[in-house]
Amino acid sequence: MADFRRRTGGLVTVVLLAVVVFGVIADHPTPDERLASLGDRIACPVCDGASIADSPSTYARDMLSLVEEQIAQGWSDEEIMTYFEARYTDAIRLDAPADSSRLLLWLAPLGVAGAGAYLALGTRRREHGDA
Amino acid sequence: MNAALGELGILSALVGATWLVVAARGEVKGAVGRVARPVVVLVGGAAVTMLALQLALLADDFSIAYVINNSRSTTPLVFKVSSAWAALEGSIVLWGLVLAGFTLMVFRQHRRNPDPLGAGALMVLGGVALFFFGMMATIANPFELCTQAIGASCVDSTPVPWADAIVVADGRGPNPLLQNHLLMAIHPPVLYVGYVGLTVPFAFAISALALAQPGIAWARRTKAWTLAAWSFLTVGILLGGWWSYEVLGWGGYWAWDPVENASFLPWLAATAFIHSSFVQMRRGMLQAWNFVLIIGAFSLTILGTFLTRSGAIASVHSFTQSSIGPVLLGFLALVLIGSFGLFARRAHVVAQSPRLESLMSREGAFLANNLLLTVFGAVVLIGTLFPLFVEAFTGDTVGVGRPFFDRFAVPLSFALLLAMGTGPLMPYRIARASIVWERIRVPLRLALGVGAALVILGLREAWPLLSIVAASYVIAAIGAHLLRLSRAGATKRDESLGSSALRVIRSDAGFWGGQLSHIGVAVLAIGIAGSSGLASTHTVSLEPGQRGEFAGYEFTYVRPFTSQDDHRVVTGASIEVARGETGLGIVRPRVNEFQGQAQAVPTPGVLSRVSGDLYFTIIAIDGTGVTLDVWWFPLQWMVWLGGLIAGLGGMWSTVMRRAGAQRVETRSSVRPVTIDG
Repeated sequence: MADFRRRTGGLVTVVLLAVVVFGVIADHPTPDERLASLGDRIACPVCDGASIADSPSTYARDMLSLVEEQIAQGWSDEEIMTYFEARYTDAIRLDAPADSSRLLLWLAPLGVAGAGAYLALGTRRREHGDA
Repeated sequence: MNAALGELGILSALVGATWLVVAARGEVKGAVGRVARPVVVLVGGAAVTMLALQLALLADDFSIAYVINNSRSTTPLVFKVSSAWAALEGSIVLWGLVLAGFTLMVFRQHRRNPDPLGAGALMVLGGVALFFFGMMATIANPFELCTQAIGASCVDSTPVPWADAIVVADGRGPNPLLQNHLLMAIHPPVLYVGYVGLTVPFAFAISALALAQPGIAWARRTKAWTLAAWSFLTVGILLGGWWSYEVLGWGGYWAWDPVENASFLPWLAATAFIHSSFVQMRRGMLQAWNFVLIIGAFSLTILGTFLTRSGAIASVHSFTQSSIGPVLLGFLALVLIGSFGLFARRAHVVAQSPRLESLMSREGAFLANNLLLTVFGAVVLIGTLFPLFVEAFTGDTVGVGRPFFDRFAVPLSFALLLAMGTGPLMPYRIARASIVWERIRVPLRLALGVGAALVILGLREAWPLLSIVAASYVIAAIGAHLLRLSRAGATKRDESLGSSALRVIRSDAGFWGGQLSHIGVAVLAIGIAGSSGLASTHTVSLEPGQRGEFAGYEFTYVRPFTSQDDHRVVTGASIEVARGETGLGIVRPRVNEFQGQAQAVPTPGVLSRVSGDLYFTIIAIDGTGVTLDVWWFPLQWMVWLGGLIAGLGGMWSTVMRRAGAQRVETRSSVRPVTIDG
């Protein structure tokens, strides 16, 4: 009986996990979500570093409308970002893509993670060495 | 008069701080009872300084530059009071007062059990106070008299208190953003208690290093301080987010703004320190690391002050530009070089810790927690400073915004939640996989059940879904843990489950206070997943009488309204909100124009419900109609509630630990503390 309950329990867990995984995989951004996410990635050129999604200025609003149009016309996210980058330089990108000028920005956290993991594992390895 | 009183206060505090450093040095070397008088002078001076500033603000003393530039005769009383910390010079006064208060409390503890460790800590506190009151006396003097004014702004001033000041008819008034909400009176003091509170464990750590007695005494003795500082920091950051949500009207509470990051960084370091110091207290591990963390946490508060107050970063918080930047940067360099230099010189006594037996253990979970928090801190630090460095060295502007921070913060938070749910269920030393699985099985299934239900209800957003699953797992795991222990106790003692649960909680109050904080963080995570991950927005233009619709709610623009009091003109829109047949009430988003200030400030209108907040801000309003941004923030209330619970959990642990901490203290002063292990 206990064995049966255990097995059903395991089965239930697997089924629930499968449903959650399905929910995660089935995440396809709607046009509105793409607009919100792109709006966060593009800086408003006239408002001290705020994104066009956050800034209430007319300039930001107009840019956001343009993005909305581009999405409606079927542009991809990268095409839209490239379009704005070409017109307003690289400084417009708030998502700080990992390219040569921002190498340090991306490598530093990864470096800290690597060094930290090495040290953490080291606390254990030393013990084996001694033993 | 007020200026002279203030200068006197600063001078006394300076004398007190200097005297304290000298006297505490004497006590470190064996003298007794020397620090009492300097502490009194320091505290008295700090109190008089704040009192003089308050008197000047309340009495509309428009001969003082700070009062002219930050207050106005028509400013409401509460905002006159809060003007004392609304700008740079005043915020340093508040810093000094809080620091003096903490010094007094450390002194009272020290007087009961005088020892070199406590005396050394008082010496460090005196040194930090010396720096801040030194700044007040020179480059950040809040009592300078105005010698030249243009309109209602003082443009030139002198620190000489007997100079002939010009008296301006009326002041400029506070920054409009800062006189718009009651929270502005509460948020800075709460945050500062948290910020400055971290000076106490730092002072004890430096004292322990200088005296070459690493051990755990310093961390144990400052445990209550660290927890209290952490709780205030948590609630202070939360209040800042709330203020941003209620006042700034851009539709959110957290933007990864450099100044928000400045308060979040010490929080991350303090959180990591609280956890890693447990490991040292229980198992003697991570000695050196704890020194690094507390030095880091204190340095980050100084860095935070630099970022906030130097005007180095264009941000809504950088209300002032001043020469204070280089000085704070110099102090930061001094702290870093001095502390880590001392740390390096004591490397031989910061002994090799006992080793980890298995990564699969409570210690292993603490290590994972510290690793994740450290990486989190590194992301926030580099993301905040990178644009500054690039601009300083190349002159280029680089934007590092929300997408960058989110890309790291969201998965890191998810991993932290998983560790938070599993860690407290793991035994120390070695946790057998079967035991751990036995304990997490049911909570895991419950959490997956919540996730599956949401998917069936139509949720298809990867990160919000995963965050809610992980947060539910944390709450379920804590519940299951309490239930398991209570059941065992109930059987053993033959008592009811309820009274057994109470006994379990009381017997390890510090631990359960921590678990309460964990529940708070989990609730907060669900709130963030909802209000940020699932938020939606819509812009709408309405004429009076016209109806709009969004997120299942209907709203009607009833009419515009205006009102005027003696310090501002308010223009707003009355909007009736309904869902189906049910009227839900009227919201009144508005725009405030303050006298003496060019910038208009929007105040959002918020309708809070259990399912979420409907949030209106005015983009434009005139006689013919109104243009509104309408936001839907699901589960917004859980953000506020979660942060509050987390802070309460910390406070509870603080109070519950005090008795225990004092017992330990008595013991450690009898037995000389050497290296643990």
